[in-house]
Amino acid sequence: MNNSDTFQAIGRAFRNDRVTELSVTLAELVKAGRFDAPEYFAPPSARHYGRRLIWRDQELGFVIVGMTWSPGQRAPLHDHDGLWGAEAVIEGVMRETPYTCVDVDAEGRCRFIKEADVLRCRGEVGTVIAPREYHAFENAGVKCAQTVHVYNAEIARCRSYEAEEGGWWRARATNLQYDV
Amino acid sequence: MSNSTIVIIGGGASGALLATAIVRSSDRLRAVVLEPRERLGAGLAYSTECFSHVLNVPAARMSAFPGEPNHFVDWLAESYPHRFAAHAFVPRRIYGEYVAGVADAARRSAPERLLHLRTRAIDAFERDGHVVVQCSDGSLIEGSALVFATGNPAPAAWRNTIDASTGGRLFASAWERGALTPERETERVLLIGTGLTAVDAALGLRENGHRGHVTMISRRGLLPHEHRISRSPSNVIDEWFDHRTFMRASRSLRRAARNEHNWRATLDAIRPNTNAMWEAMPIDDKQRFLRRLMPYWSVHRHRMAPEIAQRLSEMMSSGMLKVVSGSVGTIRDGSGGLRVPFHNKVGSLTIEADRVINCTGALHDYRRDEEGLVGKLIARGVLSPSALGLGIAVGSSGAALQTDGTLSPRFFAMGPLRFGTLFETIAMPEIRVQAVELATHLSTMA
Repeated sequence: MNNSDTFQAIGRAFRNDRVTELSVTLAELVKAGRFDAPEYFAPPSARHYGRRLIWRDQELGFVIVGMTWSPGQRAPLHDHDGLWGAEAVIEGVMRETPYTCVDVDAEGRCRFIKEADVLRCRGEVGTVIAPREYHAFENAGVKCAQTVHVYNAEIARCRSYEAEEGGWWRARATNLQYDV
Repeated sequence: MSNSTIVIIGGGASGALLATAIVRSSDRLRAVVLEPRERLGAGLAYSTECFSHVLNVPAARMSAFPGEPNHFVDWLAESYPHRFAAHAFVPRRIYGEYVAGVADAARRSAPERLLHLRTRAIDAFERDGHVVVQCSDGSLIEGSALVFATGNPAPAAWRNTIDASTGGRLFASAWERGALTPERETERVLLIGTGLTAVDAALGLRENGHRGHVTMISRRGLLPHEHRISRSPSNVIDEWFDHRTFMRASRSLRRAARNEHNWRATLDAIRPNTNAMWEAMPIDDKQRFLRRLMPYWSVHRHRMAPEIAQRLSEMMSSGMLKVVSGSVGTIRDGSGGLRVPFHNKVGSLTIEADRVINCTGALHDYRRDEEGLVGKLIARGVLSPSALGLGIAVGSSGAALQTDGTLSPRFFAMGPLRFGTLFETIAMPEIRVQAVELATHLSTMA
């Protein structure tokens, strides 16, 4: 599938440096079927959700990542390495639970406020903008789900958080890899 | 020991901080604040009830006192434990509580030297080396100096409507009573303006239960840019911002805006010098800047908090909110609602809406506000507008420039009223400094 005009449209939003424009563009592209391409998504795996690189822009540095989620598969509370971008559902139903970080202690542990969660279907878009970049993401449907994630730069690592006593969460560095 | 009374007109953030600074600076000064609202501190900006109306600046930079940078963050930690990080964009109503608390503390520390009168000033004049203020309740207040701290003027009066029956559906300002409280949740709303006020209006409506379509319109259809708070904030300014003439300023601005990695840092780094740059610019360049560059400057300088950008993105990508460009014509009442014609590059079009809200910004042209006290005093020649026609002409202390070219020993202004003479004067970093400097100036005169 030749999608160079799709990538150009996303590039324009990054060039204009606006998350509002990026999310509108992404929603329109998804509804126009521009991401209905099996080669963009890794096959479902029972072990972990799939990540496949769709596009890395040489000039502007942004990346487009396709993800595959089996029913019940989830990404626990994590950050986005200080990046900004947008995440759209292509297929299935995803639940996003955003968190706001309100405190960081000397050990790097965080305290969060859990925000209201949102269910998203095809063409619906959520955004991350550091420091509003913390959320859990999971397949809330009974079928396999596909999502597209667009970030302003390569996301090679992030931090996942595990709850501890006293309302604190401990960060664990995670290296992110692509499935071939 | 003589006791001088400083009369302050307006008890929003500017007036409240000035009164506080007066109480702190000299025990020979007494502040009398004329403000109809119940509490001092929360004026138009900080009295909104919507939680989605947040500050445009992180909490860490919003202290009420220049010498105590952590004052607001400490207050937050005590009043709202574990709710806000230092980089959080706090709801303005909470900030209003904070400023009100600051003014309350000042009043408790010296109740005889900070007086709040719940009345509106309707006229002011000089008599025998004193100022006399006439109030709406009929009282006359006398003082040795008078400070105008009246905040932003209302948006320009609505002139693009000819039909009186549009009443109740056409709001002259987003802050008018009921403007953001829809009668039906599916009303079609048109917001005139695409700046931060229009963004406030769109989110305020939603917070109040509105679920209908919202359209925003302005000549260029430019939304404000978004704040990005990186983990390692850089104050590096690696671009020289040349401001000496309009042409150079415009070139610098364009170059800075093109650089996606550091235009925010560039603008933030020149911020402390903006007023000096403004003062150095020739007047016709200032006029051209206001006419041609101001819209672009504003969207880069006055940015949206990340959470606001997120909510706006959600509304826009779901199709509930549309932003269009165009010049709005005369609004009429039609069978299907208010008919709002506009034209842009595409041609002449019409939007139908059940509710239209004027969200254009304050004009700062007080000459047009002849019913307001400042406009009245300009018309009488007591105050003069700045050379640009905006705000009122003041010296560096805030003393009003009189028609004979000398500075008034009795009339002063602070905050938004200094716009025109100054460029940056409506935000907390300037207002808290003006309050302390003006209080010091007044105490040396006393």
